[in-house]
Parts: sequence; structure tokens; C-alpha cells
Amino acid sequence: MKSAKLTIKRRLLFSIVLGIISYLIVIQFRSNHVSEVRDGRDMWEIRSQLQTEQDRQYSLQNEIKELDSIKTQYLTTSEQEQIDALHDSIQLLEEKAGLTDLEVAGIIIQLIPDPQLAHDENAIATLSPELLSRLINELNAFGAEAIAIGNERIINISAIRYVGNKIYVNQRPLASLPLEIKVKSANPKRMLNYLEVSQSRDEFAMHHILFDLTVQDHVEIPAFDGEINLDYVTISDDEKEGE
Amino acid sequence: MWLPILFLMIGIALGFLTNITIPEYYSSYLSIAILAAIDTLLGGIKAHFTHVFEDRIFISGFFFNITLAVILTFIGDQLGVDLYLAAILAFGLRMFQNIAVIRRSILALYHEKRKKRRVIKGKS
Repeated sequence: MKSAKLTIKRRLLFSIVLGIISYLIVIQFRSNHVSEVRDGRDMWEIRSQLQTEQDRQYSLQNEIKELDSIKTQYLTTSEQEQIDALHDSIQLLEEKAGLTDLEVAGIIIQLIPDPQLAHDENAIATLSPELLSRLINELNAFGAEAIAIGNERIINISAIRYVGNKIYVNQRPLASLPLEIKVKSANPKRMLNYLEVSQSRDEFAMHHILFDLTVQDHVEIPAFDGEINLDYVTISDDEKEGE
Repeated sequence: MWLPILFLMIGIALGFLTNITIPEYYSSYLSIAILAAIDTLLGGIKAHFTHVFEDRIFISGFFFNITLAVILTFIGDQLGVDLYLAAILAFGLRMFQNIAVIRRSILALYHEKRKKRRVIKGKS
């Protein structure tokens, strides 16, 4: 009969296996925890982060206050006034969605083909959807409150497409150059300065299109004319949001 | 008792010092290998208590089980079937059985020791 006592050899065998197991477990453990992100921000970055968060908190609180006041308006007033309040909020929302005509101070950007092209037979002034998209992005970054290309109001779901050599905005073909882009801005002069040195201007110039910028007190921006299809809109759980 | 603890420490230290990490894709392979290794170790301890331990069976079982488990996981990966669950189930069940046997044996040993001590005390 074999003895039940642990011989040194057997003990060593078990120990080695135990060592291998612990080694593997440590590797597994470490591999699963590699993605831990270290916070390498310095004081300044943390402070600016805090600043943006506080700004966000402030704007959210403002929004809550606004909605609360609307709510109390609904609750405390008579039926007629309730209807008025509803009309007011509908008006407000339509304005936000771009469903109303605007006549405000703003900028008109005239896109005109480079006059020097008359001497050059090979070069053609061609507008492309990418150029327009970039321009719109830049305008939005500069703080545009409403944009219209030609007579087409650009809203959140406006599409700019290239179909058979023609550019379509909001499902409607765009007229050829020269073209007018109208922009509503809280501070048109500032916007003008931005546009004078904007990257879009260079990019358009590369395609032989020049900007003619004018600031006007009364820019007519047409309403979005079409159906806003919200069938596929869902509420996102994502916490990220634009300002 | 100090030898297993020493090797445990060596294993952990090596793991932390060598700075080896494996891609996430292979982490299921490693975990199944760890499970196989633990199962083999427990099997060996059980065999020791039931007096059927053999070095060759233990060592071959250690490598064979790990290889088999990893191959099973690989095949399952290729087929899109979670075959590693089979390995986990088998190892898990056997681990519990083995631990039960080990527990019984240790308790029996302890009981026997106490009895002996009492007999010695009674004689003196």
C-alpha cells in the first residue's frame, strides 16, 4: 500500500502546478484590467472641464426654469390662456425647427464664378455638395442661427445630395451659379469677419467660386417647405448632447 | 505546507514582473486553461488522498486536459457554438466532486488524529 504521507517529490509537483496556475491567473487578471484609463490631466484641463460642466449645468437649469414657467402657465391660467400658451410654444418650436419665415439681420453670401475664368477655357466653376456641407458646418461653428441656400432653408435634417450632375437640397434641385446663401446671425459683423478669413472661402476659391459678402439688416430667410419625417426618430439614451 | 505557498508567491510575482498581457480575444482560452489546470490539481490531491496517485498520470493529465480544453474552445469558436461551456461544465462538476472527496479525507484524517491523541492521553 502506498503511504498517504506527502513525499517531497509529490509535494514539489503539486507546488509547481500551483505556481503555474497562479501565474496564469495573474496574467489573466492583468489582461482584463489593461483598459483602465489613467487620469493624466493637469490642473488647467481639469479646471476647464469643470468650467464646461458648470456651463452645461447652468444652461440645463435655465432650460428647466423655462419649462417650469411654461408648466405653471399651463396649470394656473384659464382655458383660453392655456390655448394661447400652447400656441406660443408651438410658435416657439416652429421657429426653432425652421418652419417659419424670418426677416432678420444677417449676411448674404453671393457665390459667383471667378470672372477670370472667361479667359481660361479649361477651368470651370463647379459647385459640389462637399463644398456646401463644409460651408454649412463652418457657418454653424461661427454661430449661424438660420441658413438658407437659394430658397431652401437648411434645417437639422436637410440633405444635400448630388444627383445626375445637379445638387439637390431638400429634395429640390439647386439653381446654377451665381447663388445666394442667407445666414441669420446674432452678430452679423462678427460673422462677416469670420467668413472673410474662413477656410471655406479658400476652398471655394480653389473651385473658382468667389464669395461676395454683404451684411444686411433685413435678410429674408424662407421657411422649410416640406414634410419633416419623424417616423424613425427615437429617444437616445446617450448622455452626450450638443449645446 | 510552506512549499506550495512559496510556489504560489513565485507564480504571482512572475506574473506581475513579466508584464505579459494577452489580447482580449484569447482571454477565454486562458481562462479555460486555468480551469483545466485547477481541475487537474484538485484531481491530483484527491488521488493522493485515495492512494491512487501516480506522477505520470498527473503530469500527462495536466497538459492533456489544458490542451483538450483549449482545442475544444477553438473548435467551438470556429463553429460558432459555445463548446467551451462543455469543458466548463465538466471541469466544474468534477471540481466539486473532487473537493468533496478531499474534504471528507481531511476530516477523516483529523478525526483519526484526535482519536489517537485521546488514546495516548488515556494510556498515560
